[in-house]
Amino acid sequence: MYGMVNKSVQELVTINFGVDKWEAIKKKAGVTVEAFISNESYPDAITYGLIGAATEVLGMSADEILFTFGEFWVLKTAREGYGDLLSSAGRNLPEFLDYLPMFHTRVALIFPHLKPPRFECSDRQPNRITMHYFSHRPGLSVFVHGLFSGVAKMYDTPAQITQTKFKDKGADHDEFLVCWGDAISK
Amino acid sequence: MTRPEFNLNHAQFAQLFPFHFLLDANMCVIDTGAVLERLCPHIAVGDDIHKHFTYFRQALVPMTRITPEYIKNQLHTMFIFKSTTSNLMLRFQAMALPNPERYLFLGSPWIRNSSELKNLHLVLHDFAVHDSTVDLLHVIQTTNLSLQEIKKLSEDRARAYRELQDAYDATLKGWVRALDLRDNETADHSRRVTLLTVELARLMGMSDSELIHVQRGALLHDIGKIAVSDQILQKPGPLSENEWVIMRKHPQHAHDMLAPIEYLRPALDIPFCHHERWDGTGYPRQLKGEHIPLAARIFAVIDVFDALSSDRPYRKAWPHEKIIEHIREQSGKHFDPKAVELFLPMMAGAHA
Repeated sequence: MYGMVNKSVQELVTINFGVDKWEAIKKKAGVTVEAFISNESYPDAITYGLIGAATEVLGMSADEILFTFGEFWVLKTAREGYGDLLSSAGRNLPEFLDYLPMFHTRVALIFPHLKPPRFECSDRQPNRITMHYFSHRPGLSVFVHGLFSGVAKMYDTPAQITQTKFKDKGADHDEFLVCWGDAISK
Repeated sequence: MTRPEFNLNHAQFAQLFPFHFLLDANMCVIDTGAVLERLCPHIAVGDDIHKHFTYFRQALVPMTRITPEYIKNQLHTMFIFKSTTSNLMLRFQAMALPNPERYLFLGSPWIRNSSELKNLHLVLHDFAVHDSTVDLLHVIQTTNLSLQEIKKLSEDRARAYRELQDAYDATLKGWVRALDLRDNETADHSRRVTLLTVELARLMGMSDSELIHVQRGALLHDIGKIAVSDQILQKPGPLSENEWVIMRKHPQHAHDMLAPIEYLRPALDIPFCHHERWDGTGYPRQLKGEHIPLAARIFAVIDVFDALSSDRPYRKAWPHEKIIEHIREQSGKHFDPKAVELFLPMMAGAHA
C-alpha cells in the first residue's frame, strides 16, 4: 500500500482523536515508521495492522473506521495530495466517477509497484452509474463505499450508494450502484 | 503491404484532437477543436489567427507573423502559440495539407501544474486519452508531493537535531555550574575560559565542527574534580603532597566519566590533557609537545591566564602585564609556542 494511505489513517486519527491515540494505535500495531512518504510502497500488513489497532484503541467497529476513512481519504488526503488534479478529474459527480478508472490506470502506470486497485464504470444513466471495484486486497469494500460517499460530498451532491455485489460473499469483485437526483429511492 | 487510408469524420477527428486548429493559406481560421473553442470563444471562422494568438519561435521568442513558407520550413519543430487575451499556451505539431492548401495544428495546452488546469477552467476529460499532458501532471504532482514531504522531514530532523544539541549543552552547563559552586569558582570562570579557548582555537585553524567539541571540552575541563573530596577541593590552605596526588587524578576521573558518553568522547582532549605541559613535565601522562592534543595545548594557556587573573584565597590576582610576561616566558616550557604566539596578539587586541 502506498504511504499516502497510512498518512491518511494517521491524519484521520490525530485530527479527530489526538496524537496520543495515534501513538497508542501505532504501538499496538507494532508500527515503528516515524513518517510515511506518500509515494513510497509499504507492506499492506502495516495498513491492516493500523486499522485493526484503531478499532481497539478507538472502540469503533472496523466498518465504521473504514467508511469514515474512505470519506476522509477523498475530502482531505487526496485533495491535499493530488491538489487541483483531483478536482480537475470532473466538473461534477458523474464526470469524476467516469474518470476514476483512468485516474487509477495512470497511477498504476506511473507507480506500478504500488499495485493500485482497478475501477470500471458501467450502466451510465443520467442519474446513476454502476462502479466496479477490483483489488487483490481483501476487506476494503467499506472503505470504497466511504470513498464514493466522500466524492459525492466533494461535489455537494446528495447520493445514495448501495453495494450490489460482494467479493467476500463469493462475487469476483465488488460492485456499487451510485444514484443521485431523481434516482435516489425514497 | 497496402496501407489503409484514414478518413475520419469531423466528430472522430475532434475527439482525438480537441485543441486543434486549421488555417487557410492566409493564416485565417477554418476550424477549431471543441475544447479550444470553449477556452477561446471569440475565435470565429475567417479570423486571422494572429488576432487571437502570438506565435513563439523556439526559445520562446515572439514573432509578428507566421506564413505558409515559414510553417513548411519548420514542420519538424514544435509550434508554440500564446493566447493574446489569457495565459493559455498551446504547443502543436503542424501539418501542411495540399489541395486545397491548409495548415493543420495538432496539440494541446502546455500546462506545468494542476493549478493551471483550474485557472484555465480545464478538466482532465478535456484532454484526449492519448495526450500525455495528464500523465505529466500526475508525475509532477506526485513528485512535488514527495519533495514537500522530504523537505518537511529534513526540516523536522534539523529542528530535532538542534533541540538535541541544545539539550546536551544545557545539561553540560548544569554539570559545570554544580562543579563551579562546589569548587567555590564563579560561574563566570567556565564561561570565560570557554569563550577564550574557542577564540584561540579558531585562530589556530580548527574547523567549526571541531570547535563544538573544543567548547564542550573547555566547559567540562575540571569535571573530574567531582570525584575529589570536599576536604581537598575546598581546603583553604596549600595542599599536602598526598592531597596533590589525589588532586592530580582529576583528569583521569574526567576521562573515565566522559569516555563512555559517545557525544562527549571527541570533547575529552581538554578534560583529560589540560594539565599536560609542552616540555613533558605535566600530568597525568607526561605527554610532550605535539603528542598533547591541540585543544588541550590551547586550553592550558587560557586556563593559566584566567587563574592568574583571578583572586585566590592564598593570593591576589596578578596584574595583566605580569601574566602576559609569565605566559611569554613559559612558551616552549609549559605552553605550545604556537599557541602563545597567537594568544599574545589576541589578548593585546582585547586590551587595546
